[in-house]
Amino acid sequence: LARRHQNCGNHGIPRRHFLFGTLGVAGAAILHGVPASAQSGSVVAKPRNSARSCIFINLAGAPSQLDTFDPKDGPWNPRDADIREHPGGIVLSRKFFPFLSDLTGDLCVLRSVSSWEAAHPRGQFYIQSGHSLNPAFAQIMPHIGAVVAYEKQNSGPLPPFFSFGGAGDEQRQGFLPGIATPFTFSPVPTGLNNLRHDFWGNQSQAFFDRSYSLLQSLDAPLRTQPLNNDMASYAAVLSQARQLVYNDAVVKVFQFSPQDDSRYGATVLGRSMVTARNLVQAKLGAAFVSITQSGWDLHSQQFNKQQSVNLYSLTNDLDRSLGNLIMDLKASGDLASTLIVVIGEFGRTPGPLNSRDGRDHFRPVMSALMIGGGVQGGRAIGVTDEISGAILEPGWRGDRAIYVQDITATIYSALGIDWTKSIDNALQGRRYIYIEGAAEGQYGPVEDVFA
Amino acid sequence: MPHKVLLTLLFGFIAVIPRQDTSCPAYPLSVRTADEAARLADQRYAAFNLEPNAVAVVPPVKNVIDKWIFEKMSADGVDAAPLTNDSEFVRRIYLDLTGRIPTYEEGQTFFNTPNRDQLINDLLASPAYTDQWAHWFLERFQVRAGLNFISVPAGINFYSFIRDFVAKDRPYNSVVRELLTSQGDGDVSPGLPLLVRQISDYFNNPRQDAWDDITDMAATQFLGLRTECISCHDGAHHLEKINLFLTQRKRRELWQLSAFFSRMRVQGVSDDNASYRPRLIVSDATTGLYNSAINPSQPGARPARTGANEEPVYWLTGRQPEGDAWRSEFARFVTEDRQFARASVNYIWAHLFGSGIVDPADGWDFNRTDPSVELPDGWDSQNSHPELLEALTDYFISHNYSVKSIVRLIVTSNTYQLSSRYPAGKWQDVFSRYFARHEASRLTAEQLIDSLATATGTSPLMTVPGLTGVLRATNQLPYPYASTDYSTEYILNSLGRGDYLTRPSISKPSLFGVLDFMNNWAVAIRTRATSDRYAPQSRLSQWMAEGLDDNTLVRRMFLSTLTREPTSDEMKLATDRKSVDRNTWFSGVQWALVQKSDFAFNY
Repeated sequence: LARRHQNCGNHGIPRRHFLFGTLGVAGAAILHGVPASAQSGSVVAKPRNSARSCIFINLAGAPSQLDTFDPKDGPWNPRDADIREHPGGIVLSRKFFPFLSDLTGDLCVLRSVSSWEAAHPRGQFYIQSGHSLNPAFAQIMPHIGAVVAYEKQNSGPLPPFFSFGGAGDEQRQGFLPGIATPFTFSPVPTGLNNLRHDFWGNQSQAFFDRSYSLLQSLDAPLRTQPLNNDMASYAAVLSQARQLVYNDAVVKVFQFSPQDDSRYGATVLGRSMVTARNLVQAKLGAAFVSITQSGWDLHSQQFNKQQSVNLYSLTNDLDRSLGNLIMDLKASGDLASTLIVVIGEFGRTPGPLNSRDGRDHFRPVMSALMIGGGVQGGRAIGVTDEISGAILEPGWRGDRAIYVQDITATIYSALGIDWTKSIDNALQGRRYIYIEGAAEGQYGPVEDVFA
Repeated sequence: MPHKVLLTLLFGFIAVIPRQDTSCPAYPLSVRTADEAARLADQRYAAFNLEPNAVAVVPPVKNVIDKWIFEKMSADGVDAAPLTNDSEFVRRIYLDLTGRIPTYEEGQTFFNTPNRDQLINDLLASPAYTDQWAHWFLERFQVRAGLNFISVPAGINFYSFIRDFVAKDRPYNSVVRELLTSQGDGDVSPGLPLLVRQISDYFNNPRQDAWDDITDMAATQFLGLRTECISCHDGAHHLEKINLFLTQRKRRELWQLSAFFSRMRVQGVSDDNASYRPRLIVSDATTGLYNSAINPSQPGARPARTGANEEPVYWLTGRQPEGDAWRSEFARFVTEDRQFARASVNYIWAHLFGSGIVDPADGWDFNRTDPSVELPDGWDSQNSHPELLEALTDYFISHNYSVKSIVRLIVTSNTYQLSSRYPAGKWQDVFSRYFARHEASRLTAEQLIDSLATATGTSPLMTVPGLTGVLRATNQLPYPYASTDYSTEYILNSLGRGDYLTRPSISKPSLFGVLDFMNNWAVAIRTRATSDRYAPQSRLSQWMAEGLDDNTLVRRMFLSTLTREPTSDEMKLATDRKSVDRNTWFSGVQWALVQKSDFAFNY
């Protein structure tokens, strides 16, 4: 009685794929006739804890697997594509990815990824939250960065979750508390102007310190006895804000040199990447940085350089900024503890271009990249057919396509978070499961990416 | 827990799979689990019985609201918070009725003659009441120009229509009938954008999707009933643990409601240069019904409608349309349904108290809200005060569906006028279902900016393309991204205002928003004691120029910002000028006062 549903199949994995973790309790539960879904945390998760932070690069609009990280020879390739094979089976166009072509030793390419969705909002919701979209509850579902923030809490003056480059409609903290709120802005070389109160000449800092301390004294009775929880959390944010203002280390994190700016491309994406680098290197509490690069929805004229956004501009922008990010983090010794994930919401139609010289939405195959944070580079996972339209070999121990849930579990594992967890009584008695089906072993980390 | 029937043999394991389908892609297990838990939390409330014989302390009964609220509190031994003092009351009533705090003078006038009922009547009659309550309806209806076939003229028309309804206090039932039956050109017909707004990608989606979306919007907004789940499948095997009423509904019943819109004809005209969007022209045919015919290459988001061939039935009251004008019959049936009035007053209640008598206000389970329906084991009522809700419904109907009458009845009650302060250590979460204290809530972005302007005497002056005249309050904006005052736009967005489309206002404070409110020039300039050619002259700078002494200045700043006198401790802190000049010091005091927790909250 399979139920057909446009855009999304039944998101349950066949039970033969109960392959993650130890199956002890789950197996016993099944034998004893208890529905597996009633068991919570029956899989024993052993998070890797190989990364201190994660930079999550969201290629919004869905990039073509065939024109990015899973290219194949074919008449659709532009003449200057210059596709080359690298050690470990990684194949890249040197035209599109000149920087990454020299960094393949750091890349783990996941070519056997499959999406559940073929519509942008639903697909984006999936990769941002790790969950299927229910419009009625979309507001309370947190971004995975918010879950990370909630787990990591404050480990410095900076908030744990940053988000750059999006359109403003990305998932936020949902029901999670204020600590999980994304810190969002558009980075510029001169940094943030709300970290200073420079309206009083050379007396500015003294003015701010004095006035803030007066505020704290005046507000003390309400901090001790807030009228309700909302007021308590507002007071907490006020105090956290104080730690950031006129804090030289914090001010510097958001500034970068004109040289860095031009090296990274001087675009929104480049500036987000260079800020991500600073955040990771500064170790002031940033645990998750989400960066969105928009424009990948190339239904037509994808190789036409006259179009303001085309495959050349998108790949080259990504390549330049990501390449420099990898090199800088390597040089500072932070790459090993920083997991970089690059993924879009689904793939695009394989083989020849469509009648408008573009590619349309495609669910079954997409590609992703993982770099650093314990990931072993110089490898490609999975094999697809000659037009990158079907997965021939999953190439990992899950022995099926890699889904968003598995990617999410991998991120959580690398960051030392138990991906089988759920939060009870999260909001008015409600319960939130980090990853549906993970506790029952339906989904889990792609352990194969790790060294 | 029924339906453990399907035995499956899989790789040596015998798995018992519950028959209930929990794989709905639009309703993930996490959310389902959450809903089930929320229902169990309701149960904890119903089971709650503190000390039935204890004598609860409650204020005197002022009207029908107090009668039912205080009766239940007395019966269950739950004490009420004390009544608001004049400061708390005047601040709250200005925020709720006008969207901003009172000015210094308005506060003084009230303190001199603290006649609460008189003030309520004055505010209800003020233009600012229209600003605030039109804003509330506009946020609910989420109509924004520039998207979903809504052009700028159409957006402005809708805005003016809603403001006119609030200003004249037109009967809500006739307004809703007009919204649901509007015809013609979306750019010209003022009520039409509410329907057109639901029509997303009309030319590439099945029209049945548009009908279903309109039906769900109407059922949710006007009946408090969410129908989204049954627009894809029957309720059975999906909603057993969530909503008893919807569990018994079939997808076919949704089609029967949706069929009322199946004679709507929509024509796209792409001559709209104002926003680069086609506009839609809506008319009604006299033939047609809800069928399953769909272009297979554009199947839309919902599963196939196999066998659909429906004529309209408003099964909530069992009515069927007379004549061919189905859409207007739907509007008639909805607005003549008592549930329309009930859901409407409950929405208003929820807005003023933070939670509904039936809560959530947009998620009714009729099997658990009607006291005459017997609840099965394990289920409890969703309706904390059924008699009160019926009394409010009667009142609304007998006052000709006047929104203002219901608002007046609520805000004059002692229930509404309870303080947010509850005796230390005595509060329990379950008391919130008794409305035993007034729940403090963070000001919206618009309220915060308008209150900042009020406290400091610096109104933002904005013009909006398509509107004549100058706006002086951010809750007068027809929709986001409309005004020419970019610094105000910036700070509003930073503070988390909604986008009138899919993103509601965010009431949680964000760190970035708080940093901006602390250190943004547009905020800082309003708190300065020195006037500046780039900034409006602040209230403080006028008072300084008048030569007021330190104590008087601090008193006035407290009264104009927090609507109360400073305590003696506060006076000491604020006048202890350290070694800086007077201007700088009092600018700092004014800045600190607008950052305070109680400034940021409606309490």
